[in-house]
Amino acid sequence: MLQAVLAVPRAALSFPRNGVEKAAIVIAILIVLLAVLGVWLAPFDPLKINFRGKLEPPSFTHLLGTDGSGRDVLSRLLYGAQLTLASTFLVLAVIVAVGCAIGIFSAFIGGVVDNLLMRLADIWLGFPPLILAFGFAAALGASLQAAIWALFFSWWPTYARLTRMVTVDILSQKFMASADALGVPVHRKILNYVIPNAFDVLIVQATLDVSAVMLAISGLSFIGVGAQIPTPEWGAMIADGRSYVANGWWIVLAPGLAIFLTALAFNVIGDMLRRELDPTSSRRQ
Amino acid sequence: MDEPLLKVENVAISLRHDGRSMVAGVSFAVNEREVFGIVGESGSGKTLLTRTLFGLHDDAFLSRGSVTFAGETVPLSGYAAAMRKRLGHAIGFVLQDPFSSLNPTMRVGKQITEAIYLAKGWPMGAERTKEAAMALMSEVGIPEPKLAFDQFPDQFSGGMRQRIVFAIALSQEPKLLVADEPTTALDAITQRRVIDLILDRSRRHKLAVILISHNLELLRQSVDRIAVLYGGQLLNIVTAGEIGTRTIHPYAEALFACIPARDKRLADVRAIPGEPVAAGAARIGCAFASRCSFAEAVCREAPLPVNPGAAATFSACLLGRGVH
Repeated sequence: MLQAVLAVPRAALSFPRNGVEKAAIVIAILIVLLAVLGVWLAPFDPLKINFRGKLEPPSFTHLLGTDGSGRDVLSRLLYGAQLTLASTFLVLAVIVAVGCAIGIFSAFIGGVVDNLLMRLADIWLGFPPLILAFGFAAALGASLQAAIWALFFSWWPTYARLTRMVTVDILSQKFMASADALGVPVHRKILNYVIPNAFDVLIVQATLDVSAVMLAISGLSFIGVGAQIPTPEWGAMIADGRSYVANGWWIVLAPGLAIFLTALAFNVIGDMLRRELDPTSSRRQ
Repeated sequence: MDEPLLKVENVAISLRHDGRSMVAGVSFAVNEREVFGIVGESGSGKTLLTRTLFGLHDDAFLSRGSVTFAGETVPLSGYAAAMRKRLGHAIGFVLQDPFSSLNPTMRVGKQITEAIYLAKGWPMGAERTKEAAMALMSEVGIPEPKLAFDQFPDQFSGGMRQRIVFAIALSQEPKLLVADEPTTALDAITQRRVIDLILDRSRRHKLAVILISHNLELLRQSVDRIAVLYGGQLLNIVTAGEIGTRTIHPYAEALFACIPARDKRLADVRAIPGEPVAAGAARIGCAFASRCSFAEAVCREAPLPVNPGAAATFSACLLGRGVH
């Protein structure tokens, strides 16, 4: 397990094939760093309203200008990086953990329970996340939390099914029969055999899903079901700046570019990982 | 005589999904330190027999007979689970194909220490266990065990991987090692080396070995006794010395006549006429009757004798050939 985890930074150094992939890795690391340190780097309070200084174009005081209520866009962007990425990784961590647990359990137990769980996953997959998000917004009130819940409920089946499929494949391998012959108990099979061998597939899917989840959170916030204005969430910032596009283009441009760059970077990394790790990928070599 | 380590009496094996009997009337005993061979053509039921016997077959079960291991009779109900409890310490099982029987994501050293841990826990501490694992690696002939310890299986050749597989099995210090076609995927020289390794270990550590193979010559040179399976029936148990020197079961006779040798021309290697029958077809009489040059009416009608009391040598020939 540890080896598999340690393989990631090592791989990150040897995988990139071209400048785009190198740039994507640099951008992703920068964005994560900014998200972690953003709270201390932000020059202003992201929520401080200043009507006298509203809609100021980018200047040396306000590097990215101010929004319709005079809030500093750069500060909001940095706070937003933390909020957006934190909720993205939270959602992702929970769906990966829950999905993997259900998938591995399902594959190990087999039979009727396996079938029931997977049909349940199919049914959940049938719900469009958007509809689910509206449902949660109606029940919990429109908030970032509602969006997170909605994404969790609509996304775990993807991982449950993927993990189950990979685990069933691993369980049919010869080395699992050898593990039986060595008397390996179930918990050690999961820890030492299933998880390390499923790691490649899961890390690729999870990396590709970073951008998907982030776009979903921002998207839900943009249409008003997720984070609410004036919360400095990137989607909500675009929603807020929408009405000022004509005389304050920088308000939507900054969070828009941030979403675009982050999604692009993680997608490129995900594709790169798939090329390098997935043996069925035809683009290898 | 001492009680044998493993005694299998009149065992029948059936498929789980339709209850069809695939192997019937098998009796044999394996003594401590003995190297016991099981030979048979593809489809004769040797893998099915051994896998089911040691609880590793999910689709078949022991439907009849009794199995005694180290003085304890294993009950037929819950047989596979009871036998699996003995795997990993009392019994070691090495599967066919070294290329896929190692966990590709675990360093080989860790796979050995893990096996030791599963068999015994950490009575000597992690550091000493690591040393024991490296000592074992050099014993099975892996050069530079210190370096090899931290490598992954795909960094080794097939022969080296098979050695690692054996190091893993031997690290648990079983009383009985079952090796199912351990050498099929290897070249002739590596085959010989791997077999010698097992024999050497058997001699020095009181290890009983069951060697399953269709490599007749290799088996004849390596084992003490050979059981011959055909069409799901146990036709013959002979000592290796009897082969070619005295009358044995007609099928075994024909089978060992197929071994090519330096002083034989290809024309002298006699193939057995006809097609081998698969295990499992419900049958009365001798499975080999359809191809046997001695066959008489009785061979197709009489029930096949079962090795009484799992005797050391046995011939199931209804005409009494090879019985002594």
